[in-house]
Amino acid sequence: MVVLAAALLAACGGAPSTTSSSSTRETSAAAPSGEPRNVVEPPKQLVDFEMPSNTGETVKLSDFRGKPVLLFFGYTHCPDYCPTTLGEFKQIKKQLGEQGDDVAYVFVSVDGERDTPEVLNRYVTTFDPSFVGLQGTSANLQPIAKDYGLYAKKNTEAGSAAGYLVDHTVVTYLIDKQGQLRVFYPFGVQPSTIANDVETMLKEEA
Amino acid sequence: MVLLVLLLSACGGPSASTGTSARNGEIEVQTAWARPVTVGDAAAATDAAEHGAHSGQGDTASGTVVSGSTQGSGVTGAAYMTIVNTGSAADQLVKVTTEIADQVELHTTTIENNVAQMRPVTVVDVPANGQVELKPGSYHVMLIGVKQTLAPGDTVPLTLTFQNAGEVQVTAEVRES
Repeated sequence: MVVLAAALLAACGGAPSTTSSSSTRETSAAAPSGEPRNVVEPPKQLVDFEMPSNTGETVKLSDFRGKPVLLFFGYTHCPDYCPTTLGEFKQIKKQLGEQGDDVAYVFVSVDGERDTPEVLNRYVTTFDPSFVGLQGTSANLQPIAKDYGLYAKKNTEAGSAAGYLVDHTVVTYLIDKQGQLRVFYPFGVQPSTIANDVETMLKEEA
Repeated sequence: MVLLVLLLSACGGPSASTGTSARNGEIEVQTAWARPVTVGDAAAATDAAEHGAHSGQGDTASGTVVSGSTQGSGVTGAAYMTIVNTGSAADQLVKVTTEIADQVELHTTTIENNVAQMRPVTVVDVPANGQVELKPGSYHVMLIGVKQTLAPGDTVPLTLTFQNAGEVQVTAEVRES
């Protein structure tokens, strides 16, 4: 049973108070300055992790050192927020142009029971062949849950033919070249806002 | 273009009816679309075996953990649309069926404290002289056990059943999410 509970993101520390509405999608056009992006100050060094990946190889967070990392927790049976977010990762990559290849786009499943490397591979490559899918399990997620304010809970009582659903944190994390958490974004932040932050981070020294 | 449509559909305003639309009396369904889905051989085989045990996956060289079962639910997908009711009586969407998935459910999603929850609903209300949008972050048609890969440009036939208006045949266009 995958049950991870941890303090919610407010506990990530240092999150500045944010202004403006929660529903940023109502605003069109270029990134407004009042979007609820949460800068982590000071940057938070994340505990390393190691998980099976969609290619069948084991991947560590530290394998991405030298690259900014965009990371999202989800599960492949999630038909709504997860594909929306991965679709946004695709838009971010496009906006970054050639530099988009210098960023790691990582989808961590909180449903390792069903999301095997094979299933993850079909899922993430539907969006982009470079996207990484990782098989999170209670064993490998538990030690890092607190770092991300991750909440993931299996719900078997909803009565869906999908077997079970998973309630989970829907936040995009921007991790710097040193493996430090720098910014996190609630669901719904414009991809262009995230892309701008990534672009700035790409200029930092590795 | 895709972005524009996404933005439009996410803004809660009236959607431009660019795609297919279908109506039955006072109910009109506009801009139906579905997300791309990749169905692998293994998933197809599992579906064919009617939720049989998922075996023979031990071909990954690194010896990664592979769970023993896919819980029989196969690959999932989602379809969205705007349902307009021009009548003076409220209606309800009560059922959706399609030949391309084993099961279809109506779901809704919510976010609280950055945690998303998805839950099945039994009906979707369509207000009199109004409309309801099935869109990301809200209601969607959940396709469970999708039988074939859905690539952008493909179409998904859906049969919607309304409490009052009866059946409406809708063609959802697959497009990038």
